[in-house]
Amino acid sequence: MNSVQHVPLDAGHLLRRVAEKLPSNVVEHVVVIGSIATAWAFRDVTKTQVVATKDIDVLLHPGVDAVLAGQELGRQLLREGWTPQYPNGMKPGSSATPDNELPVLRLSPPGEADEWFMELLAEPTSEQMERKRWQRMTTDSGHFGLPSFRYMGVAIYEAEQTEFGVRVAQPAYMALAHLLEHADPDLTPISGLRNRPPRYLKDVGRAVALWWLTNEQAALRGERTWPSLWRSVLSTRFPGREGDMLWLAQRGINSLRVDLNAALPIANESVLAAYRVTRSQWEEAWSSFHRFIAQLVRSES
Amino acid sequence: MTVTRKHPRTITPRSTRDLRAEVVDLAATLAGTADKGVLVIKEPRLNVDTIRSEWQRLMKAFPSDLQSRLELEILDSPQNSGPAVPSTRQVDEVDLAPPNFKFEVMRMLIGASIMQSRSLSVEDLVEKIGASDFTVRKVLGELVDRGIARRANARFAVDATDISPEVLGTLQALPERLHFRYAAGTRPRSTGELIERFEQLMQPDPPEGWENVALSGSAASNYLRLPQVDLLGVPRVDLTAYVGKDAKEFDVTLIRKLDSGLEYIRDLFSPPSVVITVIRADPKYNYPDAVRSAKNADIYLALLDADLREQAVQFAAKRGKGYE
Repeated sequence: MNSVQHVPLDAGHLLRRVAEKLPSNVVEHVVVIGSIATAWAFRDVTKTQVVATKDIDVLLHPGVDAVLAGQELGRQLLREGWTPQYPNGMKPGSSATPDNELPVLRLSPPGEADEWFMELLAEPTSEQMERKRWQRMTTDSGHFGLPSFRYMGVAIYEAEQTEFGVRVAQPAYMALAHLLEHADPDLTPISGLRNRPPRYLKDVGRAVALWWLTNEQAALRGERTWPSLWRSVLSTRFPGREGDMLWLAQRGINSLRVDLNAALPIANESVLAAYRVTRSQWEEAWSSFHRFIAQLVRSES
Repeated sequence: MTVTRKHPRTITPRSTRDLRAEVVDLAATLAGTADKGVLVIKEPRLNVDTIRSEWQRLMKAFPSDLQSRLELEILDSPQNSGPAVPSTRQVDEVDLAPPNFKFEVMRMLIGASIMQSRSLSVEDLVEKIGASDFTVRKVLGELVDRGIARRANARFAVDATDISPEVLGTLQALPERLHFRYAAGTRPRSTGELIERFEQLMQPDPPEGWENVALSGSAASNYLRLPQVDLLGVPRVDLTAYVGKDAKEFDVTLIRKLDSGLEYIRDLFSPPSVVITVIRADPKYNYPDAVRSAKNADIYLALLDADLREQAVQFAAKRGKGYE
C-alpha cells in the first residue's frame, strides 16, 4: 500500500487475476478496496483502467472469520508458489515478534513478483475502537500481521459485484471511511512516499479525489447521490448516531484545511494520475466537498 | 449523545505550554456537558506539526467521549480565516454593468421578428423588459430615426435578418457577455461533452444559481432539432442567464459546476469555450422551459456573435415557420 509507481497495470486485468487466483470459497468473502477499486469505478472518466500502483488491497470479511480465512488463503497461495513481499526491509515474523511489529502479508503470484502484489486486510469487528488492530496469522513462511482499520466496514458496505466474480468497494463509502478515520488525523509518516507525509494527508486527500472523480463522472453526481448512500451506511452501522458520525466526517475534511495543497501531489501520483488535477481544481473540489458535508451535518442537527 | 452547544475558542499560543493550558481549559469547559469545542489556532507561531503532535498527545489523556467532542483548526494566515482555503482563482464575482436597455429593446423586437414578424407596443416592451416608459420610448425613437425599426400604428418592428453585430455595435446595443476558457493545465472537454454536462446539471433540477440559465447558440439550435440548420460543429457553448435589471453581480464560480477546469477571463478576444450572455429583461417572461433552451432572440444573437450569420438566418427562418 505504500509504494506508488507509474506501472501500467490494468484494473480489470488485476481484478480478473485476483478472482482467478483466489479459491472459490474465498472469493465471496473478499472485497477489493483502494486504488484498484477506484480505477475500476472511474474507468469511464479516465478512459483507462491503468493504475499507478502495484498494490491490490484485499479485505477479508466477515471480520470474525478473517484470521482463519487469511491463514488458509495465505497458506494455500504460498503452496501454489506465491511469494511474500516485505516492505521497507522487514523480515518474516516469528512467535517472538510482537503483534504490532509483524509484517503485513503481501503476496505476489508466481512469475509476476515485480508487477503486482496482493495485501491482505481484515474487516473490523463492531467492537474495534482503536484505529488499527493487528491479528497474528501463522504460515509456513513465518508469522504475519492481519491489520484491520476501525472504519473499513464502512468502506466495503454494499460492495459492487464485478463481472470477474470479485467485489469492489464503492467510492462514496471509501471516501466516508477515510473521513471518519481522520476525524482524529493519523500523523504516522508513510515511509514509502517521498517526504514521508502523514497518513491523513494521503487518505483524506483520497476522499477529496473520490469526490472530484465522482463529479467528473456526471455533473453534481456527488451532491445528488452521496447523501442517500452515506445515510444508508451510517443508519446500518451506527443507528441513532448518524448525526455524530457526520460530524466526525466534517472533522475529517477539516483536517486538510491547512495542508490541502500538500495532499495534491500525492493524489496526482495515484488515483488522479490520469488527470493531473490543477491546484485550483483541487481547491474547488475540497471547498465543494466541505460545503456538501456541512450541509449534511446541518440537516441532521 | 445530544449536541447542545459548540464552544469555539480562538488563540495564538506562543509556546506548547500555552497550547496545553488552552486545551486543558477547553476540555474542562466541556466536561460534564454534551457540548462540543473547537480550538482555533490563528496565525500560529509554533510549527504546525508540533501543534498537531501536541494535540494528539493530549487527546490520549481524555476519555474517548470528550475526545470526540474536541476539534482543532489551524488558520495559518489571515486569508485562511474563512471556511475554505484561499482559492488560486482570480475572480469569484463580476460586477455587472447597468442594464443596456437599448439592447433589451432590440432583443425583444428581434424575438418578435423571428416569430412571424410580429410587432410590439411600448406597453409590451415596458412590461417585459421592466424599463420605464420614458426609457423605452427614447430607445424606440432612436431606432426609428436610424432606420433600424419601423413604426406603424404605435407598434414597432425590426427585420431580424437586417441585424448584425456591427449594427448592434454601432447602436451601442450589445449585451454583456462573460467569457470562460479552460485554465492552463486542465483537460478541456469537447463542446459535445460540455453540453452533456449541462444536461446532467439541469436534470432533474438545476442547482442553485442555475435556475435562470438556458442553453443558447448553436447547441440550442441543434438541440431543438431544427431541420436544415447547417452546423458542422459547435465552436463554443453558449448559455444565457436571465438575471433581471436589478442584479449587480454575477457569480462566475457557478461555471465550475459545469466543469471544474473552466475559469472566467476578461480578455474578450481569446477564443472562449463557454460564453454566458447576461439578459436583464424581466426573468418571469424568460424563465427557461423544461427543455432549457434560451429564447429565440438569444439563440439568434448568440449565433451572430459566434460569427455564424448564415446559420442564424436559417434559424430565424425555420423558427418563424413554427418549428417549436
